[in-house]
Amino acid sequence: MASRPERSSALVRRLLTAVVRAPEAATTLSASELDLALRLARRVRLLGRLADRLNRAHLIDALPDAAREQLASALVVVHARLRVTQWELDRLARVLREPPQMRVVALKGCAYLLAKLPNAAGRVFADVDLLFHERDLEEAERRLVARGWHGTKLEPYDQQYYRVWTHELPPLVHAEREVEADLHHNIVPRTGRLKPPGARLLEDAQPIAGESLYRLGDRDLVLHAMTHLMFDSDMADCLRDLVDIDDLLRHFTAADPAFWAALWARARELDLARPAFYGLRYATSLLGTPVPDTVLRRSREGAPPPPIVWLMDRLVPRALFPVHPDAPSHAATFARFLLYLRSLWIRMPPLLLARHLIYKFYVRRIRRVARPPQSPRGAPGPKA
Amino acid sequence: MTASDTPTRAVADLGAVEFAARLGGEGLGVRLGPFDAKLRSDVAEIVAPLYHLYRDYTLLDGDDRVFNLHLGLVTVRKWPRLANAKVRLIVDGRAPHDDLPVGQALAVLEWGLNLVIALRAHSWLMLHSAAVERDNGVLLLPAWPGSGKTTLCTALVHRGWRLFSDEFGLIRPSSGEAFPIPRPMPLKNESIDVIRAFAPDAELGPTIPNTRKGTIAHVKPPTASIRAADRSAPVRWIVFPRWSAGADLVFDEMAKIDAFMMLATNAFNYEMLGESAFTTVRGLVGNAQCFRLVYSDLDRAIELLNGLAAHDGEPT
Amino acid sequence: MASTDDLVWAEFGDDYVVYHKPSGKTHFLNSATALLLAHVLVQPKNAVEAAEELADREEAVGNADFFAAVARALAHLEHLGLVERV
Repeated sequence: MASRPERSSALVRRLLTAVVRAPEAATTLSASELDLALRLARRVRLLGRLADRLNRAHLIDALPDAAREQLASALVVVHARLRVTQWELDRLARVLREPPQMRVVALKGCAYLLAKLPNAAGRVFADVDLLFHERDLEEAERRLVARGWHGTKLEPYDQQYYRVWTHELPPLVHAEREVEADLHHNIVPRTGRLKPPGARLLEDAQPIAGESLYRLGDRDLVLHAMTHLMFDSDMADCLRDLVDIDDLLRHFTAADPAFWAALWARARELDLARPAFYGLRYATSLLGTPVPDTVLRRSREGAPPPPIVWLMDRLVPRALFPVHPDAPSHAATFARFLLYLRSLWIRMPPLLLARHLIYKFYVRRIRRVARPPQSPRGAPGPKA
Repeated sequence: MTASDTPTRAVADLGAVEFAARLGGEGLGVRLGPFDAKLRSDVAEIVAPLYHLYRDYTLLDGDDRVFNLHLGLVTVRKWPRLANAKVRLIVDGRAPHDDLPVGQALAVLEWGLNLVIALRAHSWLMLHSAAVERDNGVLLLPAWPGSGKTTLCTALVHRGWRLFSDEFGLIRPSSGEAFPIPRPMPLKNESIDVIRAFAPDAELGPTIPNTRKGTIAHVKPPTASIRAADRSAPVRWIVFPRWSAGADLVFDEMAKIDAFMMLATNAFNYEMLGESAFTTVRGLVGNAQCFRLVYSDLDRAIELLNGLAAHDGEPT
Repeated sequence: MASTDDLVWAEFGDDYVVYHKPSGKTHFLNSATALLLAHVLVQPKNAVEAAEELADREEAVGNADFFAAVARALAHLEHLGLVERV
């Protein structure tokens, strides 16, 4: 029986940071700790990563049967998602590289995959995210639709919401497959508070050997990961995204010690100082990323007022780390609610937000839409 | 401490009181074929039926072990008390579907187990199929609407076949062998009476009306099947059944290509497993005899399938 | 151009099932299409050449319908992603 005095949230953080930083640690855990670690990793989409690392180190066979089964199953899911994503990228690239030429930049998971970065291994891929020049979006959409992709069904309001107010077209899906392709012209919503110049990101993108798609430069990749986590989500159970930041920073700084030097300047240049401040702060405090003090000190330039920092320090870990599955936490529920409100706030100006909330209230209360029955077949498996 | 160090105990060894305490408290650890499960429930009404249906299952004592799944049932009551009480399935702290009337709690638990297994057991090719065994050969009965596979399966295990499962044909891709996961078998509507007549010695759980599948009653797997749940076997026959009122008995060999297509669409996780699903189905279809069965009379169908085992495949 | 390494085959008499590894898709092919696929994969060729070679084997030389059928089958295989124009 695990010792009682440790609070469940502390136990959760201890176990997850242990298996993230050093997956081999899984072999030193007690059976009940390992049992919990697997459940937690699954919740935050890190089970595949754990399985991949343990597999590479040939440590899976040393674990109890029930752990081996779950890790083996997670590897199957990882492999399936990898295959599906690679194929989708292959099909998309074929269509998009036809003349007239346009530059297409793979974002997030797809970039890690194509550029063979270490955090691609064990990843449970989901959507495909691509960045275009604003002027190329219409043509890209036209081409894909002509070749069998179609928009996912949306209410007219949601269509307008997507097209006019965010940085995305509504997602496209090919008729014969299930992977969503999101076409972006920037990495944040047009209506949001941050204004990174999308065109600059595109110009500075670099080619990927053997591919027609491009990727963001190293520093831009890191800054995008930070922006995505801190300004494009409500952070609930998003520990995986912080692990991405940690993985990328460790990888790039090991290859190039001068990486740090230009990181902050680039953050300022792209108007991403705030997410960079947060990204560095929580990567160091929660995952122990080795960031030089000089960099941390400079990053304070991007900090919000101290009371906000104080509040975020309390909210962010409660959202990123999962709640103990057998011990509900009011503090975590409240923290996640506040961060959900924040996620709306940072995406939309107040008037638009009010309109949006009123509309959603109307839809939920007045026009109830029946939820489809849960079925194991074809369930878009969030679980590994 | 490994399983071989301590003698295994069955759930019945706990006694009713301790069983209820565990189920409602720290959770009941129980082995379901290859899956070690931890079950918790605060629903008073299902304690006795669960104890009855699960009494032969291997008990998993202690907390210091890794489980394949953790499942909970929680009563959700609105005021005033008793009216509209619902039950919520909880998997790792989340509810995967809407709450259902508390009277269906047992069915919710069983379907919940199916759901979690289907979502997580991808080291297996999972066929949506019944599976029974005789003389070290497994008979697969793949499912689709109107197949009556659960009724057939229940009947077969009360005529000498060992129950592997009424729902999941678990196939190990590396060996092509089927693995047992004997569980309470949910009969629907008229099948309940059919089985009561066919096998008066069958042990049934409570009758549960008004579920989304109609009236349900679970049949307890024979004790011998539960005790043998660690023994796998190769697949010898694949029979695609169809119950049709008043139909004459039809039993034909099926073209392998058709059997391949049927199994590939039937499996829960064919696409997920990719190449190993393909090679596993290729092996199953290649090595087993594949048939189509149409029946209306359960006795005749059972007699015919018994004959399969006796004559090692030749339809008489 | 898809390579033979990308495909896994199952053969049941005259019927073929092929698994295409990159897409994860399983396809059911009649023997004519299967033959065409195996043929085309061995060496890149255009529809006319493929049809001519097959026509030789199938003794359908000079048959316009046959050529049309081959062209259609190739287009179908291309749509499935099993072959690619080079």
